[in-house]
Amino acid sequence: MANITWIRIYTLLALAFFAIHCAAADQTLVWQDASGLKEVAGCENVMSTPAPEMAPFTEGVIEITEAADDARLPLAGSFWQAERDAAGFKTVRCYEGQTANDYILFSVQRPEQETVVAVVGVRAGQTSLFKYIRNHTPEEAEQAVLSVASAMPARAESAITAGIAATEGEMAYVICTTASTLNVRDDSLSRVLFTAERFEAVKPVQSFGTDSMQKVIGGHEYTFTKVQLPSRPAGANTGWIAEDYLKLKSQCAGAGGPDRGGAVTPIASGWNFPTIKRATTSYKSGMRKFKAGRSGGRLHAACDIYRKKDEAAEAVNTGKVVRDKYYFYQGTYALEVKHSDGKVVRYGEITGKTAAGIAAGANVSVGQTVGYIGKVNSNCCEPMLHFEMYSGKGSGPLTTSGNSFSRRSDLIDPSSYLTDWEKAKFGTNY
Amino acid sequence: MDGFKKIGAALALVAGLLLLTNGLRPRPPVRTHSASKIHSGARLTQPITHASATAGAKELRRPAQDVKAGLVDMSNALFRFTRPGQSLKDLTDFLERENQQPVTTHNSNEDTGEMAIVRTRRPLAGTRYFHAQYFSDANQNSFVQHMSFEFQPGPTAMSDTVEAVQRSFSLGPPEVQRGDYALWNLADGRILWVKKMSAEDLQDDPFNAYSSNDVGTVRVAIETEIH
Repeated sequence: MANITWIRIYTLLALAFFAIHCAAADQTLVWQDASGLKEVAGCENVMSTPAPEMAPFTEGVIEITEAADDARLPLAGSFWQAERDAAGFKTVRCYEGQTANDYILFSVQRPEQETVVAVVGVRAGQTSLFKYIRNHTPEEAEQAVLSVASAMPARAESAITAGIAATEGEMAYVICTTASTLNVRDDSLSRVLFTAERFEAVKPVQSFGTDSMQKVIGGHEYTFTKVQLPSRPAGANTGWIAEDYLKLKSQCAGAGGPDRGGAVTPIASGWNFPTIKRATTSYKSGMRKFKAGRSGGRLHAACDIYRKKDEAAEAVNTGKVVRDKYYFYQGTYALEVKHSDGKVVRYGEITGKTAAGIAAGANVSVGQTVGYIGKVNSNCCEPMLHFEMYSGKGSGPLTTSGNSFSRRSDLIDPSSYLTDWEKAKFGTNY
Repeated sequence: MDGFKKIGAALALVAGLLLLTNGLRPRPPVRTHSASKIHSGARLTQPITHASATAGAKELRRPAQDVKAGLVDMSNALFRFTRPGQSLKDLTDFLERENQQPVTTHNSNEDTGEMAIVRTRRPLAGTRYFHAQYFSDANQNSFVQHMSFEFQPGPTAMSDTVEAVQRSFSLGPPEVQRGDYALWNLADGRILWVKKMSAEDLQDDPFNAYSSNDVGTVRVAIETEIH
């Protein structure tokens, strides 16, 4: 590649903030320099002219070919370009006491991703993280990106979200703020009702009317949105926050994903019947049994274990939650667990209540409560656990087409398993 | 500050910076072989301080609109976008044209495949909590497993909603009907139901926020017959 200039950097730059959102792997990585990071508040967007020592980095595109030895992030191979327009360089100005620090904004791209993976503020005059860089013209950078990208395995295209911008992760929102807490205000926005914790789970409120309000604070007009914090007591869990601090969890750096729990616990020798008492009605007869007829010629893909509403539904063995609750059927929910011997179980027709420790990616232990018995809103039937089981030899979505169950081909009849577990848990005396 | 606090500060600082800068980045640093995408969560933002409030709050009401028109629009959308051949993109394009500000998330795992959820940030008047769940089948074709929205409570809310879906889907009387509930079995193994939500129905919804004032909200849902 022509016109590549190698530059050794000694102590020119401080990387003030760095975040790479890796869309494919849904991870966020963050670095901090040796001096540590400071809480910075009251920043503002300005246009600026970079300090002279920043010049090698603000023209064209730079490729980080090698990062400083103590850099903890995969800086190498990323491409950086300062954000600018006719008015100057886009900058975030933050204050430490009376001192204003200007962070020139760089868009960062990695060749294996199509998107800008981060916007980074870089401040002149501190420790270097960029050990070696190459300067590129934008055209050269494009060629570099293409050459790297062409050498990488193609990413599988989503069959569902092709052509649209979708955020990887769960549909779950959090308080996303730099401070440790955030004020939650009343309907007038004048009074603070309570403070929310950073990264606390929230649900946006839609009210059939006023969904957002604006208020001038410090000379700026800000938009507020109403939220509910589900972990707090009813009646004291709803208020207004600045909309900017409401983010999808996967878009909030530092909010992290669920506790992946490390290695999956080995399969337990004893399996567990998934309700706390025997079924009130046999799950091996009538419409409740596996293979019972359904409308349109479909066959029932589960055993329906009738119990009392809101009782615990328990894990049949150790495993990992591979999909957290989603709307399932007539006002009930389902979640999916891959158990440690490879079997996959869909715990269906549960309520929306979240059991302690249950989230996507969480490990579960044998007998752990994974949800609560629900009831479909047609009142067709008693409260139940709809128990679907798969051998794990298949992959992909559980609900599908192509067979009379409308389920994946490794669906198995759980009846005999349930019978054995029931005997082991409750004995043979009925 | 110990190590964890430093990391926490770093994470928070990054989040703050990204918030501050989202509005300043329409342009990628280098062009690639395909167009860059902007994640749906990106918004123009301004920094905010928690200085004392100096002005009164100003409500941002949606434009005055016949709430029944919103109901009919969303009922028609349920019919249209759950038909064969309609993709998630078709749905989100529609929602964007209507300025409903769709937000789409996608997750996948090697054991049970892909799932996408679409919700909207700015529902039509009289409606709220639009929610659509898409899965892919064994042939990598996507299908709607669940699509729903809610209509505001009122003396005629239930009957208005039933009437709207009957028109949209060209349906006769419900196959199951009682005061607060109506259900139709549709072709292709789907059901359509309308429910006037009770306090019990509103408990513990993982996506929607409710209070006691929401009893009487009417939910409309079309679902794969999965039971």
